[in-house]
Amino acid sequence: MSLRRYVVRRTLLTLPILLGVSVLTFGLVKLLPGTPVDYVLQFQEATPELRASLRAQYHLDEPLWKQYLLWLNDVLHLDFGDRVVSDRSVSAAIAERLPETLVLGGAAFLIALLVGVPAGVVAAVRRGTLLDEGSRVVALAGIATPNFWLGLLLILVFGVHLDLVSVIPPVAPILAPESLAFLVLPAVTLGTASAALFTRLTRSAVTDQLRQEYVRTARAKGLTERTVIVKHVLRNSLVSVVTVAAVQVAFLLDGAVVIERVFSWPGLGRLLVRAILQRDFPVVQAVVLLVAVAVVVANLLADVLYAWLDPRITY
Amino acid sequence: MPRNPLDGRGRLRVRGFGSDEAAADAPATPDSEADADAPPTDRVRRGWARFRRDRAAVAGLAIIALMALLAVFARPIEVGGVVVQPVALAPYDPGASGVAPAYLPPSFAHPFGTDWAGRDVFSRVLYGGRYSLSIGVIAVGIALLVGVPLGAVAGYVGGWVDETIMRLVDVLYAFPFLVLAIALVAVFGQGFWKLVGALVAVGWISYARLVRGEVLSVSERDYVLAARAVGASDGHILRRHVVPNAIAPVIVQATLNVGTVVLSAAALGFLGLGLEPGTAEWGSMLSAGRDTLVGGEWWVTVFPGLAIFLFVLSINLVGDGVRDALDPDADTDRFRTREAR
Amino acid sequence: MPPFTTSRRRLLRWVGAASAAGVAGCSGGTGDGTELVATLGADVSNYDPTLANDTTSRKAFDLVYESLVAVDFEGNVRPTLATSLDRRDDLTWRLSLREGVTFHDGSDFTAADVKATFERYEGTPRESDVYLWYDDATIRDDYTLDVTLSEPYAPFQLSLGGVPIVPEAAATGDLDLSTGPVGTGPYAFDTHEPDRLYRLVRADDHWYGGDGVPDTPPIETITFRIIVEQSSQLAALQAGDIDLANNPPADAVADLRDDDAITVSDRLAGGFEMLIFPLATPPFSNRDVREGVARLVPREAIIDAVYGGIGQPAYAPISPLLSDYTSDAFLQEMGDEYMRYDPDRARELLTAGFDETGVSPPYETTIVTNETGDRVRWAQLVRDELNGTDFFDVSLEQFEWNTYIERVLSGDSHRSDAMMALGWSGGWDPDTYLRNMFYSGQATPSCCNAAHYANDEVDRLLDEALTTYDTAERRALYERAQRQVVSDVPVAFVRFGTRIEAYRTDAVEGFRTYPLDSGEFSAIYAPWANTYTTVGGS
Repeated sequence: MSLRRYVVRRTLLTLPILLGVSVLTFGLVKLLPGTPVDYVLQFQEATPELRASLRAQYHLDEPLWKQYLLWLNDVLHLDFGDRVVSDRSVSAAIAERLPETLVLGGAAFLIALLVGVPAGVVAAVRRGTLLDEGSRVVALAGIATPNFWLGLLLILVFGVHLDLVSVIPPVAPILAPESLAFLVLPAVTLGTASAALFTRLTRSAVTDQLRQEYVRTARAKGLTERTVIVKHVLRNSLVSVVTVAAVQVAFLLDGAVVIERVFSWPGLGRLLVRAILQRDFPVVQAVVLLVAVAVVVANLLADVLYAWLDPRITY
Repeated sequence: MPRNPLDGRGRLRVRGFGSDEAAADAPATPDSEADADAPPTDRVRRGWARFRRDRAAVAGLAIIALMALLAVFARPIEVGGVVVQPVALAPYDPGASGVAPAYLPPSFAHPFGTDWAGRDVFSRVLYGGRYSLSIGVIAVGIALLVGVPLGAVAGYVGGWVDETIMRLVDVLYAFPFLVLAIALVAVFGQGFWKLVGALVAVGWISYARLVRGEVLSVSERDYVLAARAVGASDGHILRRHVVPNAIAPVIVQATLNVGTVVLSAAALGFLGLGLEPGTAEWGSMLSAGRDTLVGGEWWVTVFPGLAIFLFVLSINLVGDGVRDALDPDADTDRFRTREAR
Repeated sequence: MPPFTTSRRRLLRWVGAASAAGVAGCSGGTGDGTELVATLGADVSNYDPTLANDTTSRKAFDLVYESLVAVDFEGNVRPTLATSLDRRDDLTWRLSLREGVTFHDGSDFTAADVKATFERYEGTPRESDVYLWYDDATIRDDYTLDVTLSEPYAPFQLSLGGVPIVPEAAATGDLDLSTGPVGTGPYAFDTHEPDRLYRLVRADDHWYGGDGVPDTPPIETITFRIIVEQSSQLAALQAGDIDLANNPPADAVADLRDDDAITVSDRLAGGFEMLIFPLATPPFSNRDVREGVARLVPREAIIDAVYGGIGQPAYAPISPLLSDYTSDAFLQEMGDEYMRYDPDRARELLTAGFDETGVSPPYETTIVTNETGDRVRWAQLVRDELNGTDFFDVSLEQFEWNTYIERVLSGDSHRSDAMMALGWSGGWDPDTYLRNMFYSGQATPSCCNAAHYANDEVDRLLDEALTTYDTAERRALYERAQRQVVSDVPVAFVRFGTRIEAYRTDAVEGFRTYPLDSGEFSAIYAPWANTYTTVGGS
């Protein structure tokens, strides 16, 4: 099987997965006790007629499979409908918040790479020493701290006591200098766990590479250790690191849910959690599907990238 | 012998990693090669020796053991009216409100101070170990009981059974872990067993994938083919080769997941979806006390936070140590670490 | 804490930033005007009064819309868009409207707008705001409107205060309120960045002209930052990133009071916390048991531990805020007779009650609550107190909001095996404290009588009081109704609500806390209450 056939086959395999995701999301939200009507009316006095008309508005009295198909049909036409709780379109709501989450996630990812990879290289090169063990403990310590607590502590120290950063996002465009300055804290909090992961990944990948024949050859040829590491080992290690790193998408949203709340960052995580709790079904479906597509695509890319880059693999 | 790097990633069987190539690279990996053939008990003993050499891992194990002891001996345990454990290391009843004025800073009488209801934080932190330990162990344990058999069946039986299970795994994988847990807790309600249930529901998939990959890869090994050729039964192969090899990464994953589970429970508590209010669980305490952190009553959150930190760090060190002990050089999990959730 | 104006961060911002990021008014970072930075605890979801059922949205558009009348900080009705209200007979009111008022979109305010406003409530979630009393309206001329009620309705004037007037174009479809609120108020809608901020700017052609209060609102821009996480809101207040924090957790109030840079303002509000009994389930079906439990609610301890000593115990539903309809003496009397914390008396009652119902203690039950911090805490204290007796074995069940609503408002809430912890917000009229919870016809799922309390006498009293315009008569009727309700103990009242705001002392001046949460920010500019706020100069 050629690479192309592999790619095609893998891509086709994602379709049943996406379908499965949509069914599962739909099912879960429908299982949630309470309906959007409960949320909209809350403790308001309501006549049975009003209740009935609201229920009809949200298609609550149609059979489940029909509700699902109605929604699926709309999605295939790229119409995600309107939010239950506020009359505005779901796509607009997502579009407003997606860049924020992407920027936060991107920054976290970048920090994780910039901190984790060099740390992993150092740990691998100095394998077995205190530096190696120390970096491992530090990396694991980063994962071990509850992220919301870390975020609050950082806000307390840097925002209140030291007054170095704002406690809430500044009123400025996302890419303005002060927004980016604010972004440091949440990105660090979010990226800590990933940094630890990258440290360990890089460490094993580099360790593996260092054992290979070509390293011995390169050293024998008289190349400096530094050239060996940077020009050869690192490049080869990065392949495996990056392919796994691509899969961090799902992790980032997990972390984002909590971090966005602590730092009042207006992203997708907050929207999603609130939508689940408000039974805002169209939003939940749309966001989860979006994330699932992203995860699936990332997986696909990782597999393809890896398959393409590793010449030893035949099909 | 180096593991097949694409295992666990898809259903493709990768050829080209025959044992003769492995032999050429093998000189640096005598341990793992020998391990593959060695009887299980030998491997365990050798693994333990390697584990002991890892200082950080041993320290982690010691801390976990200490925390477990503190949790057990914090307050008396009664089983069916019989007092099984009479010792009470915690000076006060963790649930007793009003033992002292509220928000007392740490002092000799109350080393960790008191919280909003006048409860002794030290007692609560000691006692809270029970929740974290039990949630961690039980949730991971049940997830293992679900995931390992499913993964083994998928890998061993193959065909449409494999397809179905793996597609289900893929679908669940596409959901962010915490979001799925939030939805499940919102559906089924809050409370200890429901929390465990939600964590199991999102946690079993990594084991299934792992075990399936192991089962598939093992069937490729030369020594397994050889054993088959000699006439060994399936059961024998499973017992002697598949299970011992598969167990190792699963144990590593499980140990690490205990930490993840405890952190997830804390995050759910933060979002208001945690255990019964007032429970002396570290994550709930963190969450309940966070409003006063800014005001200066730091002891209400710092001590439970440190407890979680210490617990998860130690368990991760142990997990890392186990990984290095069982597979010292192969570092197979570099490709599996995306399952490290 | 570093002084606000010389913070390091401001220095860094000057050095690094290219664009202005106006935060807080002291040095006027946004340019020519003054700015107040306040907070909202959730995102604004609706701009349309007929659709917005969450208090956040209502708080947010409170300064943009105006009603025919406004209710001031003491509960008195003040003319706003209507200059006078004339009761022609029991069912007809003639409203004289103010001339020379324009909406933010430029259109003129006339009687047609009022009628259209009323009638567009039909079929919407807030339908009962208007259709509880409205029957028809006749436009006599551009500035005179006759409103016909379906029945005599005592709270009519107060109700008018709860109906924001929108342009007629909103009813005909020419104006879409989902893009932004359009009203006649002192502030116009400027922008809403979802989950981030909501901004209003001064409307320069507001109609007010008079003494005591400047004709133009002193504050030019009001920016509401949307901060969900309470601890972040507190941190932002202490760091000076916001000027005014609404509803800080009662826990933090003591710390805020200690901080000289921050002023805490609290006010008795209209509302209370209570514990509802499932009247159809033994032993709660027994009255003595209910009184016993009510006498075990440790109100003083709750106020101290949970609310930082702020607030007062509740022994009857009508808040002391309504001084025309209740009094401290009455509350004390109700407390003494039926509700006050008294473990000894409680034990007697519980023994008798359990005997009568034949239920053998300890009885296993739960208290259902949602995730609101204060409620979770007082419920814990009640649980601990009940578990301290031999009669109950209580656990606490916490549900997230929607699940909680569904449980509390479900049709068989009275048959469930759980007591329900609930908070109720009343208004300026006594009917709002009694009808929805104690009138038989309001039993869940119609509305909020979760206990399914039904007493014909109470029903009759409430109906009569609703249709009587004379305050003294109403007071007597409500007193009788309250007595009956309290003595039947369908719920245990816990505490009357309070509203709390915290603001930076040097930044904000003149702000007062309004007792009802939908009017939280009214004090920013309320000429009808002789109140306005300024942001302090440096």
